[in-house]
Amino acid sequence: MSAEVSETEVSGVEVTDVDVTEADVIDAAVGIRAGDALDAVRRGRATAREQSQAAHEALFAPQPSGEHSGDEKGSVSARVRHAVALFVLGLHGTAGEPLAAAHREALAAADGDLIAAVEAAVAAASRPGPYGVYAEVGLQGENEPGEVFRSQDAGLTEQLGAPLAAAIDHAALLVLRPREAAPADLARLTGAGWDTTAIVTLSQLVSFLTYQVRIVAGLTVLQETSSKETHT
Amino acid sequence: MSTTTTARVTPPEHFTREQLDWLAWLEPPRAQDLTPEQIAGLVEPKRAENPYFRLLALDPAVLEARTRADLDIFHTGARDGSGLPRAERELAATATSRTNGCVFCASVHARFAATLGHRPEEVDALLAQGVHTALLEGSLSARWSAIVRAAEALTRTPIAFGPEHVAELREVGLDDAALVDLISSAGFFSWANRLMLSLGEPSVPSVP
Repeated sequence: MSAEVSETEVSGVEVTDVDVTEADVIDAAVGIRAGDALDAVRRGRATAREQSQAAHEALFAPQPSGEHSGDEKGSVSARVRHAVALFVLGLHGTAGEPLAAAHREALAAADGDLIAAVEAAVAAASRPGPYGVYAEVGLQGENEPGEVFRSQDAGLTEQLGAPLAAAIDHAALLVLRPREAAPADLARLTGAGWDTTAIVTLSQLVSFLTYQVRIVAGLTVLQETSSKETHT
Repeated sequence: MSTTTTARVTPPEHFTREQLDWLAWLEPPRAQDLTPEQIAGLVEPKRAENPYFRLLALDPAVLEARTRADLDIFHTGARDGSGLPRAERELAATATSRTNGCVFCASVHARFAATLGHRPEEVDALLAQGVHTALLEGSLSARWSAIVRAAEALTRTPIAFGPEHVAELREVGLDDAALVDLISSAGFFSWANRLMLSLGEPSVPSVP
């Protein structure tokens, strides 16, 4: 199901007839099937379920919008979206895998050479989070200083290209040490060519994925513990 | 970096239940310049007063899905008693925000958790001590401890939520619907915290 979605993204064909109840990315990643106990529970929060899917589609199969549809400036390409997604999910290790597969496939079709560079960035950036130094005076005793990942230090800027390298550096900040985010980080994105609208989209993309991967991880534990209980 | 306001920022010094302002680091559209599509993305038109939502309205489709998911996760079933009580959804949001370090988000949701849960001293202990110390010191009831421990485990990277958390939560009375509400509430704040932490900053309101 997710493979279907990613193909349509890459070819730029609008996804018009997808019934979200049949192609729910979270259900597919967890392995929830119609009739499962968790299927019924999730449908008890139908809006949350549908809108989680809608956010995924808005980020990874965006519909051209209004008068700006043909305007390249400020938009974030599918190539960048899938590369950043692969990076964010990679930072989550095995929990990210069920969601990462579709992005890897889409990226293979869009720009296969990038996969190795993104995976190298994941390997260089991965560490336990969240950590970081607080801005707040009263919280200095809780500071957990730690490494700042930069694609450039990992020798990856050339392979990624400067705009994507900046997006990936920002994604590492948001995933691992969000408490350290500062205006200078936004200036870095601006300096790499991202405008305010693109920064909002990139920020949503990274932040949404940290939600989606946690829903998948949490529901997977529930799914496994319920089926164990059923069998014993 | 251009900032949106000439107002002086008075950063809060610690986690707090007090009302805070949030100041954007990027220029949001002016309310009167929002397109119909962006207004639709706000879901509730009143949100146009808020610079955070006006900034997110630059990607209206994502904002709309975010907002509708948020409202459902925190409100549906909370009145008819199905799933997790609202106060405990807010507690999960607070524990996640405390773990990620989002002073602004923690202030908003600590107020809800304290007011709706009628146990402000436990919320204050969580804010003041942080998740680990609050749990170690026994500052929280058994049920709230289980919820806070699970929310913190879900918030970490790599995600540390496991069968032991589910077992503890079932022991304190959570059923499948309540467990899904907890996972959704904590998970949603991994999303919200990162937006609020990276697009602006909290400020103590100036006395008028």
